[in-house]
Amino acid sequence: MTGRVLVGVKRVIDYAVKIRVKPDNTGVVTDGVKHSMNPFCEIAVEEAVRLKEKKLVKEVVAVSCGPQQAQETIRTALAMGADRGIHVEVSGKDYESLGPLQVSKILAALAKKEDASLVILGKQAIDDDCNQTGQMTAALLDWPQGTFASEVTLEGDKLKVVREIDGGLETIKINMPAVVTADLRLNTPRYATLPNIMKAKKKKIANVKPGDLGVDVSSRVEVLRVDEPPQRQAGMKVESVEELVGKLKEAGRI
Amino acid sequence: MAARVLSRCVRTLSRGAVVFNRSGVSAAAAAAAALPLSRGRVFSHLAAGHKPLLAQTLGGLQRRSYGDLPPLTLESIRDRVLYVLKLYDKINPEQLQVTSHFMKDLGLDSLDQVEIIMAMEDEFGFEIPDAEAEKLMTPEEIVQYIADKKDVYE
Amino acid sequence: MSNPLRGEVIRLYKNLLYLGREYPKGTVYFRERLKSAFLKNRDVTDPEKIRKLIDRGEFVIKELEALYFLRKYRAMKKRYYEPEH
Repeated sequence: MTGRVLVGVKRVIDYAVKIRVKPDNTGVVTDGVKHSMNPFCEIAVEEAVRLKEKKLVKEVVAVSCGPQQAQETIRTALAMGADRGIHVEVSGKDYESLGPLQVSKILAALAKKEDASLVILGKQAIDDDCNQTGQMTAALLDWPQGTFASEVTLEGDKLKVVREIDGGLETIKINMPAVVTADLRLNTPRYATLPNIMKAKKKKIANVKPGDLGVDVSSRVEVLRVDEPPQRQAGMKVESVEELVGKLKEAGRI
Repeated sequence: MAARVLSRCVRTLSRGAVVFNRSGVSAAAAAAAALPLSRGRVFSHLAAGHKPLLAQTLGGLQRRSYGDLPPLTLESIRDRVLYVLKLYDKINPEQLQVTSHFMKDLGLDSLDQVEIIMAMEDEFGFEIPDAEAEKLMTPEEIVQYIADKKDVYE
Repeated sequence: MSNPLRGEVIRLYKNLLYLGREYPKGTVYFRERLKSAFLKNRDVTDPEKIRKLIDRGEFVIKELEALYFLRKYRAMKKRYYEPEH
């Protein structure tokens, strides 16, 4: 075991921003919109950093795929305690069509190249909500996976993962190397404070292209259109039971 | 899908600017919690909605990348320093000269100067240690400092 | 310019200013109050008092970090873990 953890971090529109769909329905407005690290990726970084602080792993490497700005997200991971970063540069059309499969191929290639013993990812990103990258990465590597983790314990070369499943928890034990995806309750991510952001500027971020890793990022998925969710209709107040019954009859509900 | 439209806390980086200013915070000016009612309004875009100049000039895809972009020159540093300062609403762009002293000529106080330094750190992507930062009182001094740090010579 | 605590006060101001960028009521709202809070104590010279004020500022930092975490956590919980009404 090399004791190296690879953490994937994605730059997404900040969770608190109100998303607007482009008028031509080809996607959402991203220009001039605040971006930050996907909240589930923060949890993944935190988990990796804690493993390192407990001296259970030796190095935490943060990876992000995307244009130049992805470096800011890597920088945040470095400020949270990751040791170094890898920026996989994908821009233009390739970035627009970048999906879980392409990212999985990149992560799998990097996991091998870096000889990682663990890959930790967020369970999903709050922009496309795919929830596929962890699973696909594990499949491509043919590694065991512990998805929706709410507790992770290293036991020698095995990993105990408590998983959030419908209506309860499932505890599994898997071999390492493995892929883990972080659920919301896994931990409380630390804040990337200003002094740590400053210190993180001194940490190294390597720049690679998908081609350097032998990965083809072309996608076969075509987005046809993007729509806003339906608006909720305004309600109304009724003064009496009679009025309520009347309104319900009017609406054809009774 | 991406159009998950959910947000109760939309942040408005309001651009209104009412400037109220006073100069000269004593050296021992000390801290406190951020709560009391404020009389003066000290608005600014610095360190807030301000995006580094490079991001704006290069638009969409490119943002700062220290090192991979065209090398800095004294002139480009000067332009960016002045640009950042002009965005600062407590500075009247017409009064601003490369030699203007932040406190003596522009009437700023020491906390404003801290904000300026922070904005410069953002713009150029590196930390300016406190001991050095407090000596930087004119745009020219900032340009020179950055040039020294980045090994830029005319 | 020689007060040994000056550096600490400035660092505190910077750290708070940075945190203010994410303040729910807006950066501007935060900055205004932050600055007046500092100005209110501009004439404090007693090192012990300054120390106390710095500690209070550090406490506010912790509170803000906790506030931001909770706000995000609640938003995620509502979005992903609560059944639609």
